[in-house]
Parts: sequence; C-alpha cells; structure tokens
Amino acid sequence: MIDQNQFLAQMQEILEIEDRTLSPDEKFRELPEWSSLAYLSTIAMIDDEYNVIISAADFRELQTLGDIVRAISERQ
Amino acid sequence: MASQCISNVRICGIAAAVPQRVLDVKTSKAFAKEEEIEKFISSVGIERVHRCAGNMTCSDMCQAAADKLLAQLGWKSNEIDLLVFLSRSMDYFSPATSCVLHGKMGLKTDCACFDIAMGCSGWVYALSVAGSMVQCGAYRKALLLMGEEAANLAPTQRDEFEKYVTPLFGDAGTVTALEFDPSSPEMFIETYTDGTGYESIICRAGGYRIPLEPKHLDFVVDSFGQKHRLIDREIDGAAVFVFGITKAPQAVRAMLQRTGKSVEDIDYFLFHQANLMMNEQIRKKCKIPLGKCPYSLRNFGNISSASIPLTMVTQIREQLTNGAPHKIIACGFGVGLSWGTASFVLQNPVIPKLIEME
Repeated sequence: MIDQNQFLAQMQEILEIEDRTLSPDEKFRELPEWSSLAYLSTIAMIDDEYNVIISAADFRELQTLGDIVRAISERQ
Repeated sequence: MASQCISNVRICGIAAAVPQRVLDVKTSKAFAKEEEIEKFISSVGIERVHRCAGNMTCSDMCQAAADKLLAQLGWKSNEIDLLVFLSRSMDYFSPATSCVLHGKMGLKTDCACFDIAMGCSGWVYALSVAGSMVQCGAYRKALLLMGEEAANLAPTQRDEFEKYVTPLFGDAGTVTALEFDPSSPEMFIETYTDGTGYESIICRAGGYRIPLEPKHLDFVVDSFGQKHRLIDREIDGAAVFVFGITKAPQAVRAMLQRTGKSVEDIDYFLFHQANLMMNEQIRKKCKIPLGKCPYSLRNFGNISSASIPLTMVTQIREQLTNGAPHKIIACGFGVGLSWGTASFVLQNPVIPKLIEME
C-alpha cells in the first residue's frame, strides 16, 4: 500500500522544496520547481520505491500529486 | 523469436576516433542558469562532448579508426570481404557511405558494402547482421563502422545550434573488426523492436515524409520545450526514459537466463550511453555492481551506436587487452524504438588508443 504522506515527502525531496509542505491537491506541473529532469526523477523514484512504471501517455493525464498516488496504487 | 546463436566469429578488434574540438558543458550557452548546468552534470552525467569542426564527417572518423585498427591487426585492405556502415550521419543520401568508404580505403571489388540505418541499438544489430554473414565462412573478414554526429550542421549554423541545444550528444566514429574463426566461442544475440514508439526520438523533416524546405533550418521550440531545427532530433524524454528502464533490464535478464549465466559470471555489461539517470536506473534494476558497468558519458556524451565501442576503447581498454578472456553482455537501446543484447567473449582483441582528430 502506498502511504500518501510518504509519497509527498519523497516528491518534496525530488523538487528540493524545504520551506513548505506539498498537498495532494498540488498541480505539480504548475510548481516552479517542476522540470523535465524532475519528471524523470519522479518516474525513477516511483520505480524504485513502489516497483511501478507509469507510461508517458498515462502520466500526461495526471494533474495533481494525489492523481499520481492513485495511479501508483492502481498499478500495485 | 529474434534470437541468434553465432558460431565461428571472433571480435578481433575495436577502435574509435573523436574530433579534437571539445564543447564544455560548464561554458555551454544552452543553459539559462548556473544551477541548470550543475543539475545537468549530476543527473545527465555529461561534462563535455567532442564535436566535429570544418568539413569532418562521421565517415572520416570511422575511416581513421579503421585505418589504425587494420594497421595494428596486420590486415591488408584486399582481405576485407564485408564493410558495414551503420549510422544516420551519412555523407550523402545516396550512394551508401559504405561504398564511399570502400573507394577511399582502397578495398577490393569482391567486397560487400552496405549501410544500416539504425541508431542507439546499432552495435548489436550490426553484430547480428555481419555475424550471420561471417559465420558460414563466405565473408572471412568484416569491418563494422559505426558513428554519429550530433546534428547535420553547415558551419553557418554551428554556433546557433550549440547556443540552443543542450550538449547531450557528441560526435565519434568507431570500427569493430570480425573474423571467421571456428575456434571462437559462441555469441548470442537477441533483437527487439517497438515501432509504435517511432516518434519518441525523431528527426521530422528532410526525409520523404516531410521533404526539406528552407523553414526547416529555422530554430523553433518543439512540444517538449526544446529549441532546435525540424531536421534535428526531437526527443520525448519521458517516453524514452520509461522505454529504457523497462526494456533494457528485461532484455539483459532474458539474455542471462538464455545463456544460463548470472550477473556474477559476466565481467562487463556495456550499455548504450543514453544518460546517467537512465543508465543508473537500468543498472540498479539489473543489480549490476558499478565496477562492471563502465561509463564513457562524462567525457563524450551520448553517441548513438558508437557509445558501446567507444566505452570499450576509452574505459576498459587495458583490462580487455590483458590476455584474459572477458565475458561481456552489450545492450543497445533507443531510436526506433529498437533494442538488443549481445553476449560474447572477448579474448586478446586489438584495441588501439583513442584517436583524436584535428
């Protein structure tokens, strides 16, 4: 089972966000810290931590961090 | 199943040439901020790339590598029965660059020459095709010339290209020499394709689907936010990343299983040098120790089909030429989408030092 808070903490680490806490409603593409490299780090982290690989086409449909959590749990 | 067992073929030597001109990531104008450079170096793993200057082409570098290797192998030009040029950086759209090289290298007329239009998976594909031709003894000595240039650049567009395009790709030319040798251990090759991903890495204009027009030489921003010309490579980074970290580990595991080997039994795993983040993910998924996975990315970048032979020449040349047999699995993956693995033994190959060309 994926722990949403743990996932948010992992995303904070990738995005190097220390001054605030990310929420599940966060539209990650609108964050100034989001970048193509952050995207690749996210795919790699999800592969490492949850043993799930989300295709680029499926990822394109995801809007919020909560959407990513759901996408992971659907694939586990 | 695209799976081969090739007998009677020995990989006798490998050589590589790069242009002397170096493009340093730290001084590249393609990054907006200093932090971006640091991030690029730490995650993509490239600090510098070599790039052609003047009129030098990929085939010139391949030829320089081949001349040097032939001299060190003691092979005569009239002994070569087969020359394959595998690249997308051809001298001309027609004739095949292998024919141009045949003439320049003074090879005999009863010599088969053809080009293969593949990219990052190319080293494995060329080995598959040429290995099949050599194994029956009809073609006894073969040269596989592989290389790439980052882009097709007129001198007037070089500065602009280097100003806009992040230095992921480098230039190099390589050669791999094969010989008919019944005492050589078997070599195993497996090749794969997913053509539904053909747009993941694509040079859109300049072929027959989108014939070249003057506007295709303008630098424009693609749908992934990267600025380049429509004749240059457009890359769906995320799609390629997902492809690489899924297919390459599967292919390596399949090869280990087929040959009844474990990671411990193999001396070196030679992966196409895509980018550090992707290659490290693949390495970790295959549970390969770092010491068995040499990288040439840092000083040369991604050079498509040349990455695997260039890694042998620049990273493990001394080990490979110490007289002991080395068990190797090579894995190429990328544009196509196309990928493949080769499992083979290298013993006493001739590997000249890297050639740097002015």
